[in-house]
Amino acid sequence: MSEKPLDANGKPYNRTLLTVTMIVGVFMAVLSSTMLATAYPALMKAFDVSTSTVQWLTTGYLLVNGVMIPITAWLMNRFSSKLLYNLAMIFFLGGTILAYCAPNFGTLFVARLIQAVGAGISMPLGQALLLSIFPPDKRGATMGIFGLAIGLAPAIGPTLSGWIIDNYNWRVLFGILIPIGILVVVLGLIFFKKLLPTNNDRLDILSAGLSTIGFGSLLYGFSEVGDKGWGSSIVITFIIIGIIFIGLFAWRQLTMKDPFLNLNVFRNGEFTLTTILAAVVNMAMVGVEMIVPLYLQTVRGDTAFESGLTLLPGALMIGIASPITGRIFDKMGAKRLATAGMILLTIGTIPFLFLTKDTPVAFIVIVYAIRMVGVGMVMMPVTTAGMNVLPVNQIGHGTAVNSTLRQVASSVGTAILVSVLTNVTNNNMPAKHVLHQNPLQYKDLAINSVLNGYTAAFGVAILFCLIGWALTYFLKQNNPTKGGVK
Amino acid sequence: MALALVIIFALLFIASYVLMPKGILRILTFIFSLVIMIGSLVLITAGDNNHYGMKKVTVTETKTLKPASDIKQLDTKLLIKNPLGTKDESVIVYKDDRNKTAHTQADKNTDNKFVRDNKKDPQLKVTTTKYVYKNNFFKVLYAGLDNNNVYQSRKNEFIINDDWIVLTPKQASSLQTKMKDQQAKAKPQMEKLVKQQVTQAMMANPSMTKSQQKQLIKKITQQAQQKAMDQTKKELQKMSIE
Repeated sequence: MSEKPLDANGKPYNRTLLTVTMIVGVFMAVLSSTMLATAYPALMKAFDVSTSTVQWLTTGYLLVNGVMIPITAWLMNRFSSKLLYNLAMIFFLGGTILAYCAPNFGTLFVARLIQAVGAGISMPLGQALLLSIFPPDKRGATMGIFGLAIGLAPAIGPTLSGWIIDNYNWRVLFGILIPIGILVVVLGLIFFKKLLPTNNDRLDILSAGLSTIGFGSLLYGFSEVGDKGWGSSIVITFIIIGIIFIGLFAWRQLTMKDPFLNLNVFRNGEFTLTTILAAVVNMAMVGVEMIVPLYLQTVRGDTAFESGLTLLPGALMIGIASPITGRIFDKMGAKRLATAGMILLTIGTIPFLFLTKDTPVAFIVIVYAIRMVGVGMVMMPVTTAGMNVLPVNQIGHGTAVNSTLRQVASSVGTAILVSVLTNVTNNNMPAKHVLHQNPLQYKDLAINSVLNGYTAAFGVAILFCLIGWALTYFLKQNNPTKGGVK
Repeated sequence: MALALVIIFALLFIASYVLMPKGILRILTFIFSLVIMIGSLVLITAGDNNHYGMKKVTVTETKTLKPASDIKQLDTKLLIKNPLGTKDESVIVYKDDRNKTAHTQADKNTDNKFVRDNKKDPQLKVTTTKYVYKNNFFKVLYAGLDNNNVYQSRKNEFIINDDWIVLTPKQASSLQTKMKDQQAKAKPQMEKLVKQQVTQAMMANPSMTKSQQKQLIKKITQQAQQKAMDQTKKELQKMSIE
C-alpha cells in the first residue's frame, strides 16, 4: 500500500492537515449554532427586540442548516470538494464578520443565515469526506475525532458564550470566531484538494424546491411546538405541509434516473438500522440537553453560565469518549459499544426522574456525564457502521440522509420533550385561589408541578433510550472492515 | 463514596462489556458492575428523595429581639406582621441585636409564633429542623454530595412582653396618620378643657394667685395627657393582632 493517500486527480496530499482543517471548521460552525441562546437577553437589550424575535437567530440558523443538508448531497457530486469546502468556509466567515459589525437586528439576522449556509454545507461535507478519504479500518478513529467536534461544540457553546457575555459583550461572540475562520479559510486554500469524483448532473430545481419547502416547514413546525403546543394550527399546518412535500420529494427521488438525494441507501438494512438508531439517540440526547439547563435555571435559580458549567463535564466526556470509542470501533465493530452505550444512557437518564430542588449538584454532574459517555459510545460508531456498508459512491448520499434524519429527529425529540414538560406542568399547577390565600404554599406547589413536568419529560426520554437499546441488538456482530467498501 | 462507586463501576462495566472476550467471566463482571453502579445511584436518590440514611435534628438559637419601631412616648414597642396571603402565611419585621431591621424568611416551611411572657426578656427563639447523616457510614457513603444539613423546617418564636404590639403594615401606617391627626385635634380640645376647668376653679376660689393658676393648668394638662396616652395605649393593644 502506498504511504501517501491520493486525491481525485491522482496526486498525493497531506491527509492529516486536511482533516485538522476540516474538523476545526466544523467545530466552529457547530459552536456558533449553539452560542447565541445565552446571549439573548443582551441582544434583546442591544437591539430592543422581543424574545420571540431574537429566537429567530437560532430558529433561522437551524432551518437553513436543515435545508442545506440534503442539497449538499448534490453539491458534493457536482463541485470539487476543495471549491465547496472553501466556499462554505468563506460563507461562514463572511456571515461571522457581518454579524460582528451588525448595526441593526436585520443585518444580524441575515448574517446568521449566511453563516448557516456555510455551516449546513460543511457538516455533511466534512463527514462524507472523512469517510471517503480514510480506509474503512480507520474510519472509526477519524469519525471519533469528528464526533468530538460535533459533540463537544454544542455543549461548550452556551457556557463559553455565558462567560463572554458576562465579561465582554455579544460582538465578541462573533469576534473570536473571525481569526479562526480566517485561519481555516487559508488552510483550506492550501491543503484542500479535490477528493471526490464529480459529474455534471444538473441541479434538479424541482427536487431542491421540494426538499427546501418540505424540510423547512417540517423543522419550523416542530420548532413552534414548545411555544404554541401541538394543537396550534400553525404547528399542524407546517408539519403537514412538510410531510406532503417530503413525500413528494421522496417519490421524485425514487422515480428519477439520477436522483438528487439517493434514497436507495435505505435498501441496505444495516444502513437503515444504524440511521434510525443514530436518530433515536439524537432525540434522547438533544431533548435532555435542553431540559436539564431549564431545570437548573427555573427550579434551582442558576444562571445560564452556572447551568452550563454543571453540564460541562458531561460535554467533555463526549469529547474524551468519542476518539477512544472510534478506535475500539475499528477493532471490534459497533454492536457491543452501542449496546453498552445505550445501557449507560438509559441508566443515566433514570435518576433524572427523581430530581428534587435539593438534588446534589455533584450527582447531576456525574449522572449527566454517564449519559454523555453513553452517547459517545453509540453516536459515531453506529453512524460509521452504517456508512461502512455503503459503496464509496453512495457515501455522500448516505451522509446527507443520515444528517437530515438526525436533524429532524433532534427537532422532533425537543418538541416532544418540551411539550410534555409544559403540559404536565400546567396540568399540575395549583389553583389560583391558593396564590391568593397562601402564596408561599403556591410557590411550593408550583415548583412541585414543574418537577412533575420534568419527571414526565425524562420519562419520555427514557422511552427513546429503551427503543434505542432494543435496536442495538439487531446490529450485526461482524467486524466492520469485512462488510466494508467495494 | 457512592459517587466514586458510580464512576468506577461505570468504567468497569464499559471495559468488561465491550473489551472482554465472550464467556461467563465477562457476563459476571459486567452484571456485577451494573449492580453496584445501579445500587449506588439508588442509594443517592433515596438520600435525596426520602432522606434515607439521614436523621432529623433540631437546633435552637435564641437571639435578642428589638422592636421594628419603639414608640417611646406611648411606652409601646411595635412589631410588624406582614400577611402574605389571605390565610396564615406571613413575614415578621423586627430589629436584630445590632439594631438592623430584619425579617423572617418567606418560606412555606417556616412557622411564626408569638408568645407573651412578661417574665422573660423579649427574644426570638429560632428552632431549625435539618436532616443530617445518621452515622459515619452514611457520612462516608454520601461524601462529595454536600447533602448534609438539608433544611427541613423552621419555627420562629417571638417572645414578647405586654407592652409589645403586633400590627400589619397597613395598621402601622394608618396609626401614624391617626396619631398626627389626634395631636392636631388634641390642642384646641386641651385649651378648651383647661379654660373650662380654670374658670370653674376661679369661681370656687376667686382669690387664686397667678402662680396657683399656673400650677393648676400644669396639673390639668398632665392629667389630661396621661388619660389620653392611656387611652391610646389601650386602643393600640386592642389593635394588636397577636
